[in-house]
Amino acid sequence: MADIDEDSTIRAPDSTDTDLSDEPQDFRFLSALSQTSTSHPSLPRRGEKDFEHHGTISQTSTLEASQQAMHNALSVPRTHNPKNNIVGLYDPTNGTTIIENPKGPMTKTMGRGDIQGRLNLLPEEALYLIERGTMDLRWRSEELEGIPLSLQAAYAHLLGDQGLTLELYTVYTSLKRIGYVVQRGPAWYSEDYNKDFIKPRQLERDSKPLGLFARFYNSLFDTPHPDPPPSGPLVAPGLYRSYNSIYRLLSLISTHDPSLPPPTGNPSALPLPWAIPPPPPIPASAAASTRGNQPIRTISGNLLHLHRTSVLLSLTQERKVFRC
Amino acid sequence: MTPTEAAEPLLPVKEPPRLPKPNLGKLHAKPFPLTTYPLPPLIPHNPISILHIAFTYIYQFIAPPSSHPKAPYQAYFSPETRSVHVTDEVAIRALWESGFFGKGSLSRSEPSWLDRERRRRGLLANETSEEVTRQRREDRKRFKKERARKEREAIEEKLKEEKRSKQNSGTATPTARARYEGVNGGPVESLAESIESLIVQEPPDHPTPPAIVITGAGDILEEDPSTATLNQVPNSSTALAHQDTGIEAAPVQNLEHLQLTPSEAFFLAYGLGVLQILDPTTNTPLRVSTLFALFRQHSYFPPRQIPTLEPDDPFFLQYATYHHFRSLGWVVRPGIKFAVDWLLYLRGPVFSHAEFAVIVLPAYRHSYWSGSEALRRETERRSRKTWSWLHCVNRVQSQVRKSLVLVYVEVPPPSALPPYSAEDDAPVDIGLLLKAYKVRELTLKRWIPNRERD
Repeated sequence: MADIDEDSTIRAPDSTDTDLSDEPQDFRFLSALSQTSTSHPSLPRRGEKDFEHHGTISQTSTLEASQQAMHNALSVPRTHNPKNNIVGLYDPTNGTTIIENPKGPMTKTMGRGDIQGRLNLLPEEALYLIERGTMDLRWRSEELEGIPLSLQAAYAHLLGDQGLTLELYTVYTSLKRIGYVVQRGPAWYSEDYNKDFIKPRQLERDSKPLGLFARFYNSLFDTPHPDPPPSGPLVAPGLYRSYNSIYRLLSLISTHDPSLPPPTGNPSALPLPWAIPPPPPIPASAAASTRGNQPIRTISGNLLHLHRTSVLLSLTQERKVFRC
Repeated sequence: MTPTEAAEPLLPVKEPPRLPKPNLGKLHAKPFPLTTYPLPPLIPHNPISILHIAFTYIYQFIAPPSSHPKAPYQAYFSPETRSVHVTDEVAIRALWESGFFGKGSLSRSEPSWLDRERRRRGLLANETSEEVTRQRREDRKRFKKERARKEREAIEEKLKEEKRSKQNSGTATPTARARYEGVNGGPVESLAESIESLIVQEPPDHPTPPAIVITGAGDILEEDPSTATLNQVPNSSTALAHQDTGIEAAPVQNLEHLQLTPSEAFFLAYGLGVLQILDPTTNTPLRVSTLFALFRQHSYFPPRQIPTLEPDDPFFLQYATYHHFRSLGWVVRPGIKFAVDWLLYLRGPVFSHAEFAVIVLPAYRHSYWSGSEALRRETERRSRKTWSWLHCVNRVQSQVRKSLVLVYVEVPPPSALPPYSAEDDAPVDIGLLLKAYKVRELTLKRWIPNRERD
């Protein structure tokens, strides 16, 4: 019986239980691969977990080896390959970052190109490229022409520019490191918020409609049921040929149809899947921005992805023909 | 050796009767406690089927059978527990089997107390779900204890080994290690092996039910063997101090009743019309409109008076959701087990696990609710939930592998509801009241970027 096992929790660890990014990595596996290579071939795997201090030599030595491996990994000097180096120019007067000669796979998905073949970068993209080491950012102004920006200067100028905050930047970099192509979403510019209405997937609403003869045959024996009394039972005692009619009598509560676009003109309307009232308030750090939730388009900064489904609506039809 | 004991080996031990397993599909064939009378199928090339259909149709025309039971099932409203109790055996079986309404007051879900009591007395050999669960929990506890013990032993052994090697080499011990000498420690690599060995262990057999003797007609059983055998001798000369003595003389009285939540009871009374709820003090049936007010009042604690009831009473919201999902065909049961409001089953809890866990939340989108500052603050306070709450709820549901569904019930302004009078004589159109509510469902899933690439 399914009822028995409902509280059984002995099972293999599920992917939804643990979040790999929450657990610290074991750097010993990284050091096992290569000590002095400048390229980091892959992320280190998880090792075995100890829960309490045992006081054994083996445990302390394992711990020391892991810490040493982590120090080694972090102390590798970062080098830039002059062959792949891109030079970006930062103009402090209007806060634009331009790459004159974009090359490399990174620039294919970032920035916005113009007619002359230059690439205009958004501040978070520029910061990301600097951090990664593919771009070398230089000043473009009268007295500082050609001088490279220090990392501190880059952060100071680019964060806070065009609505970029440190939290948003952190989310951006983590997603980019995973491998996504991340672009700004419509919520960034709140005037366009309502424009991006994503129509939900069309699920099969109606089961196959009955043929002509079947409908005629059914209509022969249909008995019309009277309207239910105000406080009487919705399903009055009588002759019912199938449960379809019973369900039809019971349907009272109206539902919201997600395939319709939201009503315009209502600023408090909830047009989008990630703007549901009551909005689960994003933790205080991200909520500090005055424009409320400004998620980057593909992902909300709070690790929640809200779907609007019409699964339950579609089950109406399925269930109504289930019992005949 | 007493004469009774000498007679024991000659008599065979009678096993308690084991009932055959019920066919669940047949038992729970009806989604509601209503019967339908479909016409026989039409087989066009067989003229007899047409005759059959015509005969059935005319017969049902002359003497139409009713879909409802002859008399509505009776139940009592209990204000102390804010629920409706069904005590009639036939009604309990009917309500549970067709639609899975209610919960046994002494059981997990299905009212199985009588079976368990019979099994305890040795009258039945079928295991109930509660016993299976208890057995499984005991197994798990034992396994965990064993594992912890093995871990501790491995750690101690490792410590001893290191102490020995340290003595052999004669090096000075660092102070950090000496400080933690007393604490149990252990090797990491051999822990895995010890746990492996534990899992290979066979689980122990199910313990047989303890030997129980009935001492008197209808009394609660005593498990003291000495007094039992003393009473046994005059009662019967043939039986053993084992299972089936004096069964026929002591029928087990069912002490359990079926508990219905207010939403379920109201659905049965108003939606289907198969239940009649009696006032516990006066034993008179309550009218549906009175019942409605009563449930709304009791959805608060302490119960409120009628004039102070509001359109977003908890009963209203819960019932709107319950009615909505029931009318779509889901089996809806209370979800307090998983810290949600309702659980949705496709066919029933005996067939599969619940697919969805539903949480009901009010939504105040109508312009009336943002009319005045006080109203806005009040609705804000009522509908605001913290992000930590959402994370917790989401985590619970992902652990038990259910999809979390947030159901927002649009609360209409008080003007949209017809005026409610305290007197019973004015009939309240409950259908109109319910039609004013709108339901919006949303599924929720935590998105972990490391895991999912779609």
